[in-house]
Amino acid sequence: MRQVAIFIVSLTIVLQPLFSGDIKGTVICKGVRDSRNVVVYIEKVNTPVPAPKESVSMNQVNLEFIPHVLPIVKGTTVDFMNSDNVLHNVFTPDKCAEKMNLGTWPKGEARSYTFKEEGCESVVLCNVHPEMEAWVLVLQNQYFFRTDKDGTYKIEGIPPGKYTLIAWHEKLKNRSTEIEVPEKGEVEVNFTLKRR
Amino acid sequence: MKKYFENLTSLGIMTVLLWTLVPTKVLSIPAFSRKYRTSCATCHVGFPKLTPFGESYRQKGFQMPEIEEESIKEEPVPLGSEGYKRVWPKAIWPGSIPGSSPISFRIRSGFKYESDEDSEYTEFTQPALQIMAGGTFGENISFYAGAHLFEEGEAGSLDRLYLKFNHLFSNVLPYDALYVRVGQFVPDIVPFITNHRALTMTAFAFNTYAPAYGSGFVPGHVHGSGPFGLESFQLGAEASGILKSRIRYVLGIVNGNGVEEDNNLAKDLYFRLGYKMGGLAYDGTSDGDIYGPSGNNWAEKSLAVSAFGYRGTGVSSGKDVDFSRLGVDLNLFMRDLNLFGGVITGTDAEYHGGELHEEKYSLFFLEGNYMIYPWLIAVLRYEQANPEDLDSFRQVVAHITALYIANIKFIVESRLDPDNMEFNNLYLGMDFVF
Repeated sequence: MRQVAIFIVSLTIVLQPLFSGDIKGTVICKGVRDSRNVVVYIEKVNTPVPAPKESVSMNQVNLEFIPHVLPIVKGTTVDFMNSDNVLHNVFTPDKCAEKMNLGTWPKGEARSYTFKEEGCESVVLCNVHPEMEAWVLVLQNQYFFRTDKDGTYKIEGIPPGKYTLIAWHEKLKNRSTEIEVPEKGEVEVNFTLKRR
Repeated sequence: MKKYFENLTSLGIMTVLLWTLVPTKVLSIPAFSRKYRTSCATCHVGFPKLTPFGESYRQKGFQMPEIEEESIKEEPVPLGSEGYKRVWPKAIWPGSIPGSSPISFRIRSGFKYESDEDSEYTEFTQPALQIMAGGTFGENISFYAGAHLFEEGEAGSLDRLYLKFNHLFSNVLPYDALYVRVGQFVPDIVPFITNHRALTMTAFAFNTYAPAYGSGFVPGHVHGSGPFGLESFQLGAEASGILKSRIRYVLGIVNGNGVEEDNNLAKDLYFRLGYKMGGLAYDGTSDGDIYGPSGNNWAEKSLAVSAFGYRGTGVSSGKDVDFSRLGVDLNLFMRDLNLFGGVITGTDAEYHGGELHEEKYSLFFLEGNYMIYPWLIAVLRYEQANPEDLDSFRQVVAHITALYIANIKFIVESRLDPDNMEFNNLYLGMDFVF
């Protein structure tokens, strides 16, 4: 029985590119400087891939967290690197990230934390430099995209079906919409995000 | 007399020639212009008069309606990231300060001619120097400070100095429902005709008249002691807010005797309630194209109707006496014409020989501002005060504002007595900010 299940999952992964669609569009942000750092993602899929074994990185350079917004799949480990010549601290006040506080460490070192709770929108702060801020968004699946200044996005290789598509921004009101991804081709969805 | 007018004519011709030689739209640089890299004309029609957009900007705590963050070209210095709101009370609430010193100056000087039956008089007037600073400490706190450093040949005084707390309780109330400012300010009773936002040099009797001045009343700005005026600087606190975009309210409590120490236990109370139809709403939102084919940011079609009241307690012969003001005002924009006016009734009280005397009056005014060009504005005002026991006071003010560039203007103004329409005064003024 287990072998059958493995076979079905493997077959799904292998055949998925043959039967999958894309979602693309543009996000316009009003009330902020530009349309960067919006995360567009599918809320839930039936067969999410597990979290990657390799960690992803969030760096601290010139007193800034880079990237400013980091979408990850639940269970992903984030390495917080310090590339500055000053000490940095990394912590969050959010319960969904266990109010982690990684302490303070010097240049060239990294400390890690694994985000376990799906749906967590965790703000990441530095106790040494109160103006530093970043966000980690913990998602159910790998179908997400973080926008650049122009607000365009494209999520590729999505299994056909009906989904809820969400556009998230740290300051603006989130928007969501129901979509249907075709077996082949793409669907276009545009968002306008406002403060209220 | 003839000679003076020959000189004035020459001056006028030279000015017109200069206007033809320079561009009329340039960037001016007071504090808000610097912050957004925008011209004075974004918020002002011939400063200091505000456009509807400028009025919305002021009411919202010096923040651009809808587009504050993306409009700022001069990055503020953060005093903690937004995320620190989640850490409070274990950390300081985050805010910001302006990226550079938010200070502006305003300088006025002029030349005046006056005459009476016996003599004529001319003078280059003493310049007035005013310093202003304003801005935000993040989205939720605004500040303003202003002082007349030098005026009429003497050292001036502090005029406005306040903090304004914006969007209070916005998690449970509508976003613009509650603002509170605390400090020294001009109460927002009839905001669009205060000295600091009017085009004319001549003060509004509407704001400054009191029967106590007697029949010799000459409209002048009330900045210190003296009879009560609606535009007096006051010490206190004021709540205001915008409901459903088009309703604005103001409630205030102040000492009541200007900038001096309070002279009694009582506090003065005031209110304003207004509704605006058409044009840009109070919160800066709009329904479609409001400026019409010209696209000029003053050229909306709107009508705002407001009621206001003030109840105060003063001191006469060492005893508390009550006084009050009640009125309505209208503000109509019809493309290039802005027509506004108001009616006010007032009751003052004073002790004379141990007896309390009440003095009542009513006053109305009507003013039209017409934009001949974006840089040329004609103004005509009529005011009439009718005290119960004194002669009426009437005045006509004719005025022209001409912007040389966006932050320099010249004005020509004369105040006439309708009972004796003899021309006996003229003021030529130069006014600039930076």
